[in-house]
Amino acid sequence: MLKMIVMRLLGVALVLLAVSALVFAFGALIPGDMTSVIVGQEGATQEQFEAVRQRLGLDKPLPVQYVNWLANALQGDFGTSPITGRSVASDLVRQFPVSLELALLTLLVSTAIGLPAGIVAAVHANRRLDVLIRVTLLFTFSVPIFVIGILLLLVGSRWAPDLFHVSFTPWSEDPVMHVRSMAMPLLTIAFPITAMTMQMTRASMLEVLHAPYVVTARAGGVREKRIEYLHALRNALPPIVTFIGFQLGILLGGLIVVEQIFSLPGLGRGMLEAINTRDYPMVTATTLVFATAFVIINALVDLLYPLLDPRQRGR
Amino acid sequence: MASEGKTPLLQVENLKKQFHVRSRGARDIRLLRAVDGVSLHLEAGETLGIVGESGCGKSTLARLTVGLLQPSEGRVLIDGGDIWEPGAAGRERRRKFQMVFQNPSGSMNPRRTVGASVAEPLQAKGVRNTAEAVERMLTLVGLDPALATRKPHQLSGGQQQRASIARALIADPAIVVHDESIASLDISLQAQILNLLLDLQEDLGTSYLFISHDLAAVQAISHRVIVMYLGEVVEASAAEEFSGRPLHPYSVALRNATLLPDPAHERARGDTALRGDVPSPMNPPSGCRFHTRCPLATDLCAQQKPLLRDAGRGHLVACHYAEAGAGEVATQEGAL
Amino acid sequence: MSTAPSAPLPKTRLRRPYLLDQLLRHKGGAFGLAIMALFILLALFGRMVAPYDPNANDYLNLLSAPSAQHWFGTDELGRDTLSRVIDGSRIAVAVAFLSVSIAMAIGVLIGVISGYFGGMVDSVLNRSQDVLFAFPTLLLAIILVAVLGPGLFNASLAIAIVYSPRFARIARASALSIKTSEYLDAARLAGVNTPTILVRHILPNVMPPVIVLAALSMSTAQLAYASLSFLGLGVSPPQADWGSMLSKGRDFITIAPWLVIWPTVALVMLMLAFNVLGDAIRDVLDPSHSSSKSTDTLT
Repeated sequence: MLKMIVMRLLGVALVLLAVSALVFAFGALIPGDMTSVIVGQEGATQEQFEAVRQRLGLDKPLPVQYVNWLANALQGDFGTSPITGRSVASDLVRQFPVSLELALLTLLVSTAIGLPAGIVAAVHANRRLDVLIRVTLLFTFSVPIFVIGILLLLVGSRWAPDLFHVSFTPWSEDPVMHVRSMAMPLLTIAFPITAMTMQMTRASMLEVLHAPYVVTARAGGVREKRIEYLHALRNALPPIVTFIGFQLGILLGGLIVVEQIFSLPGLGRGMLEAINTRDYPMVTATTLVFATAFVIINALVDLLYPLLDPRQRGR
Repeated sequence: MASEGKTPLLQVENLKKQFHVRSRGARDIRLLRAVDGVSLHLEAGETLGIVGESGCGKSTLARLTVGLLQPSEGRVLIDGGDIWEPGAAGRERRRKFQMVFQNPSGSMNPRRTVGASVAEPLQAKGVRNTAEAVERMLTLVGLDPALATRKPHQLSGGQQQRASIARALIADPAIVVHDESIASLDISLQAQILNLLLDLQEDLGTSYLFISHDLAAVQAISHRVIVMYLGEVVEASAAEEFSGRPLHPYSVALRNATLLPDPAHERARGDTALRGDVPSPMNPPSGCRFHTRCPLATDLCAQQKPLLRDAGRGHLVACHYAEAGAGEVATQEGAL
Repeated sequence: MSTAPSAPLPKTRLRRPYLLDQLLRHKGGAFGLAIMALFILLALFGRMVAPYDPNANDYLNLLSAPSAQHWFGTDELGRDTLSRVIDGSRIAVAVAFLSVSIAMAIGVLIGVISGYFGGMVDSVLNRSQDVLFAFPTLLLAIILVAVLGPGLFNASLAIAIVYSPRFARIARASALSIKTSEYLDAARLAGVNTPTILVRHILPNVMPPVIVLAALSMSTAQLAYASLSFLGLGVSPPQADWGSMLSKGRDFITIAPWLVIWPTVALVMLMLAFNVLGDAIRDVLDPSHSSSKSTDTLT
């Protein structure tokens, strides 16, 4: 078991190394040059150019640049943004909690609603309630997150101006305003994620509810409620948990979009802004943070799996 | 075992094939000896039957012989020339083989017509107009040539197998290897196909290597018979001699396992049926590989590996107690 | 639009002329096909039907509400929303087909090579795909567009790269199983050379599951592009494009809601059509849905 964990962690480390190399390569491949961003496109002399290049280490070969970049990044130093003049790390520290809060809240809400709703749907499979839920699902799957956001904005502008006319306020400044400013973004992103959780729970439960041991339990006179919530759910859980890994990709993508719609100062918005202003250190840093979070959480889900499913423990 | 001076059509010399197998969870790679030192020969127009249980290396031997697999050791010679000789010579030799497979529905591309599949060996030879040859071949194997435009799944199992035979024979191969080619057909169809094969051999003079777990089928079609156990040849003999006097205890057990409409045979079946499974070829038993399941086994069998030896009339057997064994088994049976 | 495997389908045979026939008989298929056809026609001939030039400014009617003159209203530059929604369908349809075709081409190429040849090639290709899978899809698409630069083709290429590993996986799995099939042994014995084997035997048998995946991927690709465009990474303005129209319309959402409503309607309708059609194509092509006789030969 311990050996397996060590091997997994080693694998994760290797993937992360490859990811960092790819992110660095992307940064290097983005058209344009950091020096010209700093010096300005016109009017700079060749000497000024060279001086800046040397100061930033851009005159060195790419592999050397990569190693330097990675070494600094591991110490939390992502360089200084040529656009804002601030250290990239300080921006990340400011942006990260916003995205994290939204992500955690989304997972909380989607599980709290999606899991019970999925069970109910499975137990009432193909009856009116279930059909209603599934039609809603089909609609949600056919709609991109930003469309949900826009629709909510439309509804909000008319019926809930209190939620609509709120710009992001940090928790430390005004908790009430903070909650109000997070409500719409959370609603937007939690919608499709909840639908997915429910869909997965329903499918997983349905499969388990027809399994021989559940039929046996039923034949043996175990109470229906006990069957549904204890026997079946316990066995339906592992696939649902694995599914979180898949949801996560959509969740992270959703964060970028939602932060953009509602002007939340999170990582996603930071990344888009950086791409538009050709803020190279910022682009690579935000991309790296997103990818790292994705890889690590997926690895955690992998490690969690054997705890939920005894059959996986022996492997 | 070279015959009298003349080079046989096909010679297989001390053929070995090992696979590297990594079992689940295990770190080490283990060696699976699928075929372990098999030699045989086949004359033009002759049928050699190879019989053994599943897992004894028959299929690997078939694939090695036709050149779908490269041997780890040993040679396959056709007219005295190695089929793995580099360059065009080797490639030309490998083309003298054709094969008919076990699963009739899986041996033709489901998306192409039967005619296209049958024509393939000719096309690969560079022949442009194959329609006539396909028609002639389909007629020869007893199919309506109109079936050429159908897809394989529109044919019955027997028709599919006839079409496979047509494909195998269309490019005029020297040798056709049958790997359990009738196993998945029902009994009445098996008989039809066996008769077809005999007729075709008479007409075309093709040699067959007929591989099967079904001793009755092998005896019905073969001139000579080889018995394999765990990758090795344990007995080799002319078919008639073999059916009258199987020597190896394994052959005896195999024969007793077949159903024959003969009360004497039925009575004699007794408890000589094979017990247990074939041991793993990754870890074959010491000495004689059959000793773990052999009714005659002694300490000698566990220690010393019996070599193939002539037991008279060109009948080869690898057993310390072959002659005694055959008799002994018979008397035991009689007592029951 | 049934996603559930309803009543057993009539015995289907995999021939192109039958595909259309089967789709039209499928309840969802006909519906999806109709909407798709509508959008494709709009994409091809929309400029002729559209009441105005999508980029013409009507300075007398800025942000005007839907009227007889401008059915869907106008935007902040006085451009006709209906004409722009129609013109935007060109981009939406083009991106969906382009990106899925490229993804299919890349994926099938990699998958077949990796499945058929195996060994080192397979390991290297697999590992590099694992690294691509380490990125959330939208993030990868965003960064790829940043690298490739904006524009219709680049955005499609970025989306194609993001989704190609899915095609590669499914193609690889099929190629692996076909590789060991008896008909491939028979072809090798017949002396058929490797390129011919790949084209004649592997490719046709790899395609059915790939086509099903392609059909199901159209809506995903469309969504990915709409998101990119919404984030400002699609085609450059002034080209009308649903995603960027929504993004711009958001600023005027309280005073001119028609600017976001109509592109949304168009987007959702097209996505619904792709989804329903994808499901229908899967129902028709997927061997596990057809009768038992063809099941064993199609897999």
